[in-house]
Amino acid sequence: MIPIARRMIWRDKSRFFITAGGLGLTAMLMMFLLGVYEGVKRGSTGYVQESRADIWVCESNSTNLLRSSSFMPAALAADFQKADGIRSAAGILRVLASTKIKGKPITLFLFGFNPKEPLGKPSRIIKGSAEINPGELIVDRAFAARFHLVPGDSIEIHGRSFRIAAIGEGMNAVVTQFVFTTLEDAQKLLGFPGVVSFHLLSLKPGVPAETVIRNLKKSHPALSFFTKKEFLQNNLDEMETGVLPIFWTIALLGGIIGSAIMALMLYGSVLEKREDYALLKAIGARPRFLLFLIVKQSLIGSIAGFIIGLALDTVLSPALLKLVPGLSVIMTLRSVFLVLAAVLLIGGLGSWAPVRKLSRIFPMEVFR
Amino acid sequence: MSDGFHLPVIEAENLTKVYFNHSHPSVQAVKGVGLKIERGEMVLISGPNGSGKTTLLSMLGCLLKPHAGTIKICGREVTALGQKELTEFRLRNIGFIFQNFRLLDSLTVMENIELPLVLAGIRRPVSRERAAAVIEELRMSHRPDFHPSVLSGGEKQRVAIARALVNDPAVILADEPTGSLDSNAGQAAVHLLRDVARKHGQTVVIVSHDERIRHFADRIISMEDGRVKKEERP
Repeated sequence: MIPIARRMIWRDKSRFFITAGGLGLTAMLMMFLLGVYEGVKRGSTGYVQESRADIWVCESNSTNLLRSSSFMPAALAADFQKADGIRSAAGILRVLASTKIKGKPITLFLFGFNPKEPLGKPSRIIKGSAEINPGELIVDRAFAARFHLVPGDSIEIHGRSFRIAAIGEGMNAVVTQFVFTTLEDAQKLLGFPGVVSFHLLSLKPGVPAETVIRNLKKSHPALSFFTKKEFLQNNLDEMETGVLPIFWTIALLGGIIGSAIMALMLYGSVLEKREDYALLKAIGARPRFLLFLIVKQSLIGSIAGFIIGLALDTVLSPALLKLVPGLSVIMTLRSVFLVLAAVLLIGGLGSWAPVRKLSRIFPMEVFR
Repeated sequence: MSDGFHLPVIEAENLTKVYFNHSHPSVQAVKGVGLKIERGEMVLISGPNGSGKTTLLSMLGCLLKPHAGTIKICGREVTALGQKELTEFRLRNIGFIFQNFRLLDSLTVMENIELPLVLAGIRRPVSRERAAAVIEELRMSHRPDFHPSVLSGGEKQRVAIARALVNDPAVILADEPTGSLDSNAGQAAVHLLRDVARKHGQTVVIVSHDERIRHFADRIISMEDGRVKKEERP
């Protein structure tokens, strides 16, 4: 087979590179958005995902860690501990804490946990230890980088000074960061000793979570119980409700711009090579052959755009992360394939108008 | 008794074509033309601008449907065929040569010649072999990998002739084949076309103003105002 599509594209290199470059920027934008989405997703749900809890307990009508209020007695942990099938129970308290760091007002998701309990600790500590003492904090790497904080530095929260004892990762929800302190300190900051937001329960080996939840619901009808999987999904849904519409809108706009770029390139090319297409029709090119000729050009442009986008994203994302350390961008293979599919779809959509134009070229035009 | 060679390859009866235009009165470009062209014959259709030559050629080439009349090519009535069948028919049975050569600049000489074979679904090694044989016959084998933009007018027309011949069509239609060539190159191109077509028993219909190529034709059909004015043998 003669690579006619490739030759036609290659004949006008500057038009091709401008189109592929435009599509590359669209692909880069999409990859970056998906990377940010993945970063926000993992930052928002990483704590739940990596917790050792099999069951999460919260106040009735409360469903997630991110945007619901839940308060209950810390002493319930002792009740849960006695229940059938439960190995250990521990409470954590979530406090929305306002502070100023280097003169900038910040709201933190402050979690109080008992460092002596195996449940509730942040699991990914990259500097220091999760065995913190009163008056100490564990902060996320992105948060530390954003404010140039290192272990040993202090932050004032609600008038009280806290020392950064450790730095972790996977706790960066972009719009806010998870910061950890002792349960006692969190209760003091809230002003209600003896209160927690969630109880985390771990089960004895082989005990099904559903059975334990069924039993606990009978004894504690005012509380909500979720398996780890359910609670994770609740958090994910909550996070997606907030950020996904924004991401989709930007991605859609990128897609529309990409399709327009592709359509312009191919439409211009069809107009310019009108007589070539008329010749092909005259000498017996079937409509399907001509359709594929346009679609192939579109695919070549799309794939080139995707490769440029991938290269740009690989080079520019780390640079951008240095500029905006609060961002968390995680590129996954799934995201790469999603962007490839989106770019191919853009190519397909972009070839619609040129194909229509082509169908209106008459073979007789070859005599012009 | 028929010897098979003198069977008509093209038979047109009462061909009429009208062009409609919203802002102007309609123009009857071809008015009741009938003609028979035999296998191996080279026919020149001449006449002034607007006499209907190119419209007639387009109808004979299955590029344009007549409003009235019938055309039979190789015994098949093409006026009854749909667009899809016409495309297929053109691909298998008709070779075209155009005034401005109409070579694809993005392809090499060899690829331009192979094009009809590729469109017919013939696989690359075979199409390349066939194209190479035609290139050799038309004395273009020294430039198979060149792009048309670097060729002279005469060379371009030789490539266009090779493309028209490569899938061995029964009919070759040429629209002003000497129009973009100087006198010598034009005569050489038509001479070459006649020789090769004769060798392969192909029928050639040329539409041209060019008086210098009259002596190559077996028959000359003169048109005026959409009608055949006279037919002569030089």
